[in-house]
Amino acid sequence: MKYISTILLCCVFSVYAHAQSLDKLFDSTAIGHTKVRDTYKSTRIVQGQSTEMLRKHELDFRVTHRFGDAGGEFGGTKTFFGTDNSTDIRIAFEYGISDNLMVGISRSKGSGDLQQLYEGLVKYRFLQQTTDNHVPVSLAVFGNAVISGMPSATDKTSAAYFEDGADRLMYVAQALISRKFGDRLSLTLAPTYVHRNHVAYMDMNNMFALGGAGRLKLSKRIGILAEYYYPFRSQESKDYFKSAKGISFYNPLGLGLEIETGGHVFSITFTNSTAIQESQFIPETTTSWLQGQFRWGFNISRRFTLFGKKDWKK
Amino acid sequence: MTRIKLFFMACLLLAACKNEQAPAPVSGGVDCDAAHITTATVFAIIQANCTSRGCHPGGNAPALADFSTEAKLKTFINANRTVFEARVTGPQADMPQSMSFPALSQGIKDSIACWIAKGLPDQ
Repeated sequence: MKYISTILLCCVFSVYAHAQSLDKLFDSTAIGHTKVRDTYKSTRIVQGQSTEMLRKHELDFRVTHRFGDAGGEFGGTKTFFGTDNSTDIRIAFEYGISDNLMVGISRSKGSGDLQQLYEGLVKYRFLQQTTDNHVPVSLAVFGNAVISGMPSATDKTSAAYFEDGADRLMYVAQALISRKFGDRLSLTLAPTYVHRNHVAYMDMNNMFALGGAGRLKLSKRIGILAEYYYPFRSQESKDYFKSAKGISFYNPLGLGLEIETGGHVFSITFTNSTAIQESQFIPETTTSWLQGQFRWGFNISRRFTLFGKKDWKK
Repeated sequence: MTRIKLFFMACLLLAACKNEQAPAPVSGGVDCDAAHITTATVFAIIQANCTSRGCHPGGNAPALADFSTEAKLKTFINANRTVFEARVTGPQADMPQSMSFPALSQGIKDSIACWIAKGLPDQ
């Protein structure tokens, strides 16, 4: 594992170094290369990241909420379509170090094997689409590390049984490739790698997933969002969970409505997954749209400018 | 300097990477035919895992699931047995949720399921 860690670290830095040369090759600041702005209104699409970044010295306070099942056995009128329950809640502060580099911290309830999650995240955009197609796509990389603060389970067969602190850790690495087609349509491809240090028997420590997302603008301030992830879980793992535990895994599908209201961006979302963190909703979604196990939720983003706006004028 | 700090933080996080899988689960070890599980036993489990930190207290949300007394617990299970089994003792059980409550062990789940299967006996 240490060798893999070293290789990953080398990859991260080689990507960074490569990005510098790509920046020079596709210098979108040169005269005649106007950058495409507002591919999305927010740094997140429905659940996953977008290629949008915070501006330098901008602080984003984000609240994300997912309610209980709207339909099915636990939904309906008795829970007012899930609003009596909350499956996950995330509160985050994210900050733009530069126009192309942002970092963040968050706390979320967690909805999966691990709960009480503390997250550190970083996202770097090294290419931004230009209107003249000199740079045809925006390209960003995202990574986070999540640690659970929950008490260890007493059952040694549980994924939440921690022998040491490292058992509490989960990681995500993601590439984000976006293109805005005209004024209305934006599409994103998101190859994703999820690593969880400690998992249940026959679960997968390492999992690749491919995400696809898009936005169709209805007006200047309102857009429709869609997002889908296909996790590459092994058939052996699926079969074991189905036969031994009666658990089926489903691919996360989210739909949303994005509304901009001044300094706020408000997203109303509908998802089958209960969790908010990538390291949970990608590998651990066990709820299905077709069984009424979808929920509504919202993302609220309020941005503050620190240290004045002098950097924005440059 | 900031880059060096970030580099060391990344090193530290990546160094903590490992691949570990929990051992295969075995049965909770509860022989339901022989076990003598009473309402008092289960209510003690419920108090320790479901009501001691402000959840299911009765009066407050979720008012539907009031486990504040043995009688109310039994009333709820009698009226909502399928839901209770699915969320507490079933394979996809999601209770207790967070609030610093650890997950129930398979043995405890099996004990509660056994008590329900036998008709919620007091003695």
